[in-house]
Amino acid sequence: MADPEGKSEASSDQIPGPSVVLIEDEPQIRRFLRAALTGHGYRLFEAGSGEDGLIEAATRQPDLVILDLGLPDLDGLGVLARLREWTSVPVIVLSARGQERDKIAALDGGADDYVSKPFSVGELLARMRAALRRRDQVREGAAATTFVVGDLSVDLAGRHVLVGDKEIHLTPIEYKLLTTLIRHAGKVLTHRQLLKEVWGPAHTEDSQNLRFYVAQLRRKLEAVPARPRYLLTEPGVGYRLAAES
Amino acid sequence: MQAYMRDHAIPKTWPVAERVLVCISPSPAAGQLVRAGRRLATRLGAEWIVAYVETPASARLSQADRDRVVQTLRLAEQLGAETATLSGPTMSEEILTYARARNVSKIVIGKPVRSLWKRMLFGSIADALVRGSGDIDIYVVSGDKEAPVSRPHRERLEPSNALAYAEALGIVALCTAVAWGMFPHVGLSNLIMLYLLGVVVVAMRSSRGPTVLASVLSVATFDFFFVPPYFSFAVSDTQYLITFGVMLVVALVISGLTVRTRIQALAARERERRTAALYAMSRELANTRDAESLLAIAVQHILEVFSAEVAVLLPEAGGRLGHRVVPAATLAIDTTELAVAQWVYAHRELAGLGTSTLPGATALYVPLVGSRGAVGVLGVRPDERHAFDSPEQLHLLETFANQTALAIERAVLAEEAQATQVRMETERLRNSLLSSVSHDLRTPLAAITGAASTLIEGRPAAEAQHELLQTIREEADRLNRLVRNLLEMTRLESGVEVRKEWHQLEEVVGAVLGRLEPALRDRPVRTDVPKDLPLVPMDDVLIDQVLTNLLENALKYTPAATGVELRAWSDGSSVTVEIADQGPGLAPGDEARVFDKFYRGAAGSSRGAGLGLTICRAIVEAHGGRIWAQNRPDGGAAFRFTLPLEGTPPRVEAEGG
Repeated sequence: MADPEGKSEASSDQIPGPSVVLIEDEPQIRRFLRAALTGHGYRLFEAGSGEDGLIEAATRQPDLVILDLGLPDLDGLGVLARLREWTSVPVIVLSARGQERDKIAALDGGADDYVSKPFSVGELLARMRAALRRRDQVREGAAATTFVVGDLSVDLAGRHVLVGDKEIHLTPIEYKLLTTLIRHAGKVLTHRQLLKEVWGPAHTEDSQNLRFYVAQLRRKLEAVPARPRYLLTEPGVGYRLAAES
Repeated sequence: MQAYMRDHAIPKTWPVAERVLVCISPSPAAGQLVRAGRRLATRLGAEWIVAYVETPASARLSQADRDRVVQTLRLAEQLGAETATLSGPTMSEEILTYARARNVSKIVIGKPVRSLWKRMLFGSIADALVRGSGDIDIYVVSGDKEAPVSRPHRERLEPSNALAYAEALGIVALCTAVAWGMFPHVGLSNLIMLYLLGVVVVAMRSSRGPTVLASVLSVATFDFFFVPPYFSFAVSDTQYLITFGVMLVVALVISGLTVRTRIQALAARERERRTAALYAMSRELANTRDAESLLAIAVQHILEVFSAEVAVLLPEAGGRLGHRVVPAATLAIDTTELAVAQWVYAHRELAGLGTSTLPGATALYVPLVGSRGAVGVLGVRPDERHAFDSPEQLHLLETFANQTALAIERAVLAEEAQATQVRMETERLRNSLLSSVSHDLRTPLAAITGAASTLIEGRPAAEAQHELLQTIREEADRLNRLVRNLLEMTRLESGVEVRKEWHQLEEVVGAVLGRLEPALRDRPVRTDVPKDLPLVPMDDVLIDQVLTNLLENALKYTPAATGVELRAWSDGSSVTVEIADQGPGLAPGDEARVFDKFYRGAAGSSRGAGLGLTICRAIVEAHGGRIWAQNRPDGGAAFRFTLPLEGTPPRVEAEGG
C-alpha cells in the first residue's frame, strides 16, 4: 500500500513543502486528505497499515506523521510507541470522539496532538501548522521571547503578562502553568503532563489542584471565563493554549 | 339429555364427565387399588379422586398403618389424582355423601378384608355402598396380596396412664359412697342409675380402658355392697344376674358411644384447625405477588401450626438448590443437609428425619411441587423429634408445602410474564428505533448523495455549487449528531459509569461553547455563571454532553438569530443550570414528554431521532439530579437541570511560593 511515486511530485519544482506520512486504513479518508494536503503544498506519503506506516516513516523521514488509532493490523498506540523508539517527529493522532482514554493514552505516549473524527480539514491543517512550528522552535533552540495570541502577550524574558494594555499579576504557579502551556502552544496537554511539568513528577494525580489554578488563570486572562479565547478545555483530556486566534 | 334423564328417572346429579373415586384402606394392597383406579380413570378419560375415610375405628390404627395411608395418598397424588381425607362415623355413608357432592360416577373399593363372621354380623362396606349407591357404579377390586390389616392398637386419646385409671377407680368409689348414703332411702334401680352416671363421667374424661374398668367395677361394687348377701360377690337371687348383665352392657355401650363422640369431636376440631390454618395461609398467599413475601408468609404460617424450625431452599442458576434467607426461617442448612434437600428436589419425594429415605438427616425435607415440577424444598426440624410420625401431621405439612409451591410457581410465572412483557416492550422500542433511525439516517444521506451527484454529473453555477457543498456539510453534521446520540444512548443504556470529580461548571460551559462556536456565531449568547459558584461533583465528559445536547436543541427549535441564555446558580445543596431560548416554546403537555425516547416536539418533527433529551435525562439522573422543561413567562422554552452538591470539596494546597 505504499504511496505511488506520483503523489510527491505536486510541488517538486518549487521549494519542497513539508513531508507528511499518513497512516490510515480507510481509503475514503486517505482520498480526501490526499486532495486537501497536497492542495496545501504538503508532500504526502500514504500507508494503509501500521507495518507499512512504520516502513514509510523510516524511509521517508517525514516532517510530520498523521496516525489513525484504529488500524486493522497494529494498535495505533503500538505504532506510536515504535515510532517514538527512534524519532521525535511530530505525530498527530486521528481518533473517534468519545474515546477520551485513547486520546490521553496517545498524548501521554508521545503524540503531539489529536483530531477527533469527523473533523474539518481546516481543523487538521491548524494542528499541523502548530505542530510544525513547535518543532521548528525546538530545532532552532531558542524559542521566541514573546508569545502573542489575540490580546494576550507574554514577555518570557521579562516575565510580563499583558492582556491588552493591562499588566496582569500572576502567582509563581500560575506563571509556571502559563509558560508550560506557551511552550506547547496549540497542543493539548493532558492533566498528567501539566502536573508533571508544573508541580513535578510526584504530583501527577492532583487534577484538583490543576483545575483550581487553570480557573484562577482564566479569571485573570479571559474577558469572559465561561467563553474562553486562550485557555481552552478539552473535556476529559486536558488543556490547550490557543496558538492562533 | 333431559328427556333421557326423565325417561330413565335419573335423579338430579347426572355426571356429564366421568369421575372416579377410589376409596383406600390402610391395607398394603391399597397401592394396587390406587393403580387400578388410575387405569380405570385413564381408560375413561376421567378425573379421579383418591379418598381415605377416617372413622372412629381408624383412630385405633397402628403407626405403620397410618404411614401406609399417607404413602398411598402420596402415591395417588404423584399419579395425578386429587386426594381427600374424609371423616365420619360410618365409612360407607361418608363415601357416598362425598361421591354425590363431587358428582362421582364410579367408586372403586378394595375387596373386603373383614372376616366372614364379621361380614355376616355387620355387613361389609361393599354391601353398604352397593345398597346406597343408586346411580353410582361400584367396582370391587382385589389386590394381589391381601395382607390383613395389622392389629389395631387401642390407645388413641391421651395415653391412658395410671392417673386415668386411678380417676376411674375414684369415681366408682365416689358413686359407691353416695349410693351407700342413699341406700336406705332409695331403690336399687336408682343406685344403678348413679353408677351409670359415674361410668358416663369416666367416659367423658378418659379413654376406653378406664371406662371399661369403671363399667366392670361398677357392676362388681354394686353386687358387693348393695345386693344381698351384702359384702359378698355371691348372689342370692339369680334375677340379679340379669340386672348385672344389662347394667354391664348399658355401661359399656354408653362408654363406647361417649368415647366415640369425643374422638370425633377431637378429630373435627383438629380438622377445623388445619382448615383454618390452611385457609389463612392461602388467603394471604393469594394477596401477595412477590416471591420474597410469599416465602415469608408461608414460613410464618407453617411456624404457627407446627412447632419447628423451618428453612426454604430454592433452585439457583444451574439447578442446584440454595438456602434462601427468609425472615423467621431459622433452620441452618449445612452441606450434608443440602445434599438431602437436593435429593428431595430431584426425586420430588419426602426424605430426611422420620422417613425411610436418608433418615439420618436432622430435618424433614418436603418437596415443593407445583404443576410444572418441583420449585424448591421445605426443610422442617420439629422441636419434638416424632412430631411428624403421625400421618395427619405429615399430610398437613405436605398440604402447606403444596400451597406454598403453587404460590411460588404463580409468582415465578408472573415474573416470567412480566419479563415477556418487558421483552415485548423492548422489541417495540427497537422497532420504533429502527423506523425512526432509518428515516433519520436516510434523509441526510439522500441529501448528501443528491448534492454530490449534482456536483459530479451536472454543471451547476458557482453559486449553486457553493450551496450544494454547504448542504453536504450540514447534512453530514446532522448525520454525525444522530450517530453520536445513538451511540451515546446505547452506551448509557448498558449502564452509565459516572466518574465524578469536583469541577468548575464554568470550565465545562466554556468547552461546550467553544466547540459549538461555528453554530453559535450568529446567535446572541448570554452566559451567567457566577464566579463564586461552588465546585460541582460531576463527570465533566457527560455533563459536557448534556450541555451540548440542550444547546443544540435550542438552536434546532428556534428561529435563526434569536438569543440563547445559559445561567447557573446554587442554593447551597445543589447547582441549577438553565438553558433558555426565545423560540416558540413548548406545546402544552410536552414539558414532560420531550424527555421520552423518540419523542419529537411538533414544531421540528423530523429533525432528530428524539434521543438528545432522553440522553440528558439519563445522565442527569445518574448524577442524582433532576431535569425538567418549562415555558418562560416572556416566551421561549427553558430547560433546567440540577446537580446535587454532595460531599466536601477538596482543599487546594496553598501556594508555597
